[in-house]
Amino acid sequence: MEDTNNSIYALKTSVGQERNVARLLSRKAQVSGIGISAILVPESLKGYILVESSTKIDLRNPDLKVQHLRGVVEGKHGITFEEAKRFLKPEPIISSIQKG
Amino acid sequence: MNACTVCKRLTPKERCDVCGNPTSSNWSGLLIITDPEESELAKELNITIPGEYCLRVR
Ligand SMILES: [Zn+2]
Repeated sequence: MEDTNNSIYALKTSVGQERNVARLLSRKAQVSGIGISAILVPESLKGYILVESSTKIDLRNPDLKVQHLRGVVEGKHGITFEEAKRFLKPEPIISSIQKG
Repeated sequence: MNACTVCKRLTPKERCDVCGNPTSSNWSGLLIITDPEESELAKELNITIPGEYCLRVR
């Protein structure tokens, strides 16, 4: 559906360090030329950040060594852009509640 | 840090560096755009300038 080769990766961080990890990672991405184009820190996800990247995020890469970055969430299906984009909307939780 | 009440860009200043609108300290969520041309999330929000943005601002 999307016209992109990028994927969304969920990265685990220490709780309370989400913004710091995102900022450090964005700086590393810019100097090392890793394919990271955006980093999302939704307030509702404690201990996680979402990274948009054209290359697989591998924390064994020394360019990605950042304090308080704990790991990559490995999932069968990963996170879709649709899911990530929900965090960009003003009321992501309320709109997803099913009435019943 | 403050956020622009119009384009949501973060800045320590009273007015946005890019669009000149007033900023607010009441914001949440963080989106860092390093490569707007390549980012699908940037396109979703029509962001064309690299930098830090909030998701919500009041
Ligand atoms: Zn602005």
